[in-house]
Amino acid sequence: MRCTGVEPLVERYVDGTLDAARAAEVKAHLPSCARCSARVRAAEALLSVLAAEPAVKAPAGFADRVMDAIYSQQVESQPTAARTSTNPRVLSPMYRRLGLSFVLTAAVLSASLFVPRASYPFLLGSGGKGAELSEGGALTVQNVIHGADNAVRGILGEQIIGGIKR
Amino acid sequence: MFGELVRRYQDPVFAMALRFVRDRVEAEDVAQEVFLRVHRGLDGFKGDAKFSTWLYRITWNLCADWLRRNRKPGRIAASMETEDVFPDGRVDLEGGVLAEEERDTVRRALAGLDEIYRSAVVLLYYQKLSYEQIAEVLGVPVKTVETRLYRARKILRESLEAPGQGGGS
Repeated sequence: MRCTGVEPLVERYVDGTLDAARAAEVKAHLPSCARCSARVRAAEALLSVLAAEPAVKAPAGFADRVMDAIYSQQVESQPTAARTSTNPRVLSPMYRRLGLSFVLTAAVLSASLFVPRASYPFLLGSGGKGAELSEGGALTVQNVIHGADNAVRGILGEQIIGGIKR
Repeated sequence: MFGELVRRYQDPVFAMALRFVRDRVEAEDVAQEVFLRVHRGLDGFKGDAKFSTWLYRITWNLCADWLRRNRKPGRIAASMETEDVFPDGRVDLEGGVLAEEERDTVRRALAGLDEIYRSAVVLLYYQKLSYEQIAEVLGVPVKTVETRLYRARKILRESLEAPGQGGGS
């Protein structure tokens, strides 16, 4: 190999990134060429200087700050998603109807617990036995159930008696 | 899990950012943005490249963006660069004064290099990447990497051969 062929390969020869065949050619050329040998020595000096640079380390707490930033971004992005999912405009009509049903049912049940017995004559059936007024004039759940039971029995009894008469 | 990944790669990513932006505060911002992007894009990482190569590619892209946004007229003095990169004043005492002068000379020459040459040198000598990895990170053919490194090393070598006259691009 001549000098013109060796010169472009000097750095890679020194870095050790040259393939074995070409490295052997460069190596064989050097003892007979002072100029190329000087280039190799200069390249070796450059490599030693670059390699001697102290290692740079990330500042203390860097990883923690990165994780904090990631957490902050995730928190910031959550309200947006939540707003989208609870937007009344995107709720389906089925869910709206279901919600309304729950509210009405709860209201009726609550009212039935606190309205005085006198307002439910139909619940007392034939005589209203067992339906006791609570101290505050309100019906207990047991009373309501008992009253409803009596009312159903009364209606059924009247229908049966009416059928027999006919 | 991701915190472990950050701890594993924080030093090379920060070092690479610092080599390019040459300011510790700015380098930390760049490095942090690198990991935020990695976190966002981790699901999309296909694994067809080494993770480190993908990571350095993101780092290089952000450094290149930073350099475009903050391009200043003239070159940074080598003494300033040295102070920024090694603010803790670490000096290789065994190497002696002459070695430190040589390093200053090379740093000055490196700072004076065009970015396309400097990037190749930084990735090869400081980040220890192969030619193929450098090509992938920079998005250029391997042949181009070889050419850039050849020119860069020639300039750096000449700066050592003739101290005081190096640093041209």
